[in-house]
Amino acid sequence: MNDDYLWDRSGSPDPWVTQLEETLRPLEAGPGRLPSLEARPGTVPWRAWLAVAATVLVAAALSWPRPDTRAAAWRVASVEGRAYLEGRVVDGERRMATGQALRTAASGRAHLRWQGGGSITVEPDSTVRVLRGDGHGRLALDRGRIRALIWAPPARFAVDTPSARAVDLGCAYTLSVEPDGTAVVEVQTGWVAFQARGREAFIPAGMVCRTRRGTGPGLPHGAEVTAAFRESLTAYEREPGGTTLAALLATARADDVITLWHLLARTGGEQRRAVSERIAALHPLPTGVTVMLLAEGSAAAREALWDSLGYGDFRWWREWQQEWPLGTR
Amino acid sequence: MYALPVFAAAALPAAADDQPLAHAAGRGDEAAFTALYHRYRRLVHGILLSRVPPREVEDLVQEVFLLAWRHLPRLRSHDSFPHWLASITRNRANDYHRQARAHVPLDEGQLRQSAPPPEALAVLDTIRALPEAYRETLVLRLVEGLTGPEIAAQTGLTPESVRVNLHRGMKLLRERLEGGPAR
Repeated sequence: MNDDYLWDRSGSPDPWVTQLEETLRPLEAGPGRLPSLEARPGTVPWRAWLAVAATVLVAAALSWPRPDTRAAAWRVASVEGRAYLEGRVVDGERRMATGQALRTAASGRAHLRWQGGGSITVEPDSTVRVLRGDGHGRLALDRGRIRALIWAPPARFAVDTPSARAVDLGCAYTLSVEPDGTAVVEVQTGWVAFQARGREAFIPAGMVCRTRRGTGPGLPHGAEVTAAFRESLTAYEREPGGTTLAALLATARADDVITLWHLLARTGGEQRRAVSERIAALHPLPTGVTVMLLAEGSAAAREALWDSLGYGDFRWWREWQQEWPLGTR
Repeated sequence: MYALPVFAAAALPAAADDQPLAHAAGRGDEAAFTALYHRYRRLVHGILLSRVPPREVEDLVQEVFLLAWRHLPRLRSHDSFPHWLASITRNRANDYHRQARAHVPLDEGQLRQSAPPPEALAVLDTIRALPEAYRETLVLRLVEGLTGPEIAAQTGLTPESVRVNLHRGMKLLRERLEGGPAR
């Protein structure tokens, strides 16, 4: 084999390598096109704005006049099965005006686009309403479930649920409203972090977090925890105390240390000591971190412990932390 | 917001100007970010192709760049943009596999491009079954057409490591495709 050709295509082409390149060519990246990006106000140089404006004028001059549903802030891009917009069947691309409600049937699914930079999938048997559609997109999830992929800058997109006035989350997540009004967030991408009144919640991909009315983010936990842990977690979040905490700690496994980590900042005294001891029993403490330091509430120890969990550097998470707006409807 | 025209990418500009481009993009310069997109889309595409089902790659490429656009303002070291982008890409591939909910399978009518030839998929499957150290490097070289020096520059691996990965990976690939030790 000609290693030079393999390295930088110098020298004589290696027939076997060129044959592989030819075979694999259909899989290569195509020309590609970046989707629309929302400009960040006040940060784009005026020359860039002129370039954008020029592009827009040229595009407008070259295009035939046609109904432009893309101009609507919200639109239904496509539907699988049945969906209803203000009670009428949606049979194609449709604009959604502020105040309008979309409901998916039991076997239906709708794909929405927000002009400001987001893609929402409304799952079966769900109802959403458009609350706002300008530079700040806002939906109400009255029932059911949505999946969202948001690429707008932080704090531009929010979803109202019965248990939280506004939830502005990271880039890809699923949001469900349970019958009792509790909202459940499940994150698909890895950088969702919140804080409210000193309470932090770092939610990596694959993790779930509940929100309860007026209390902000609950305790993040894995999507596939044991039934016993889930039950004790629910009990603790409803009534935080020594007894419910003891049950939570008793049912925790090694994978649940991330949940216990969050408890370090939400407990004190003997409860925090109990949490620290349980963490040490489930997960090897990094060098320099002791049960005593964790129990004393050492921020440095807590941060070093986070770094040892394998979800990325603590400072990395703090970089993307967002305010969790509290409030009730 | 409006889609910017595709820039012709006749030759990859020197990566020395990554830092000012990333800095400008972080301040909202869409033209700068588009330039970075065209410079590094093969890197992202190749990393994903070595890790996730081929039919998912195009969508995930879009997601990765949109994630980068969203989070770039907070990147502190703009001269490490390609390494940061590669990390985001690998994380996104890991997130894909960690998702609790299965993806809705696409049917033929939903595919946005025709399916690749079976022989291409067969070779890709063989590459993806190789040890992890070789997969990404081989895909970037054989599928995306990046040279060894480009792979090193964009992934952060040393040129020596890339060279070893290419050599050993190709040897192993050949053994598996031909059913015997490579000559």
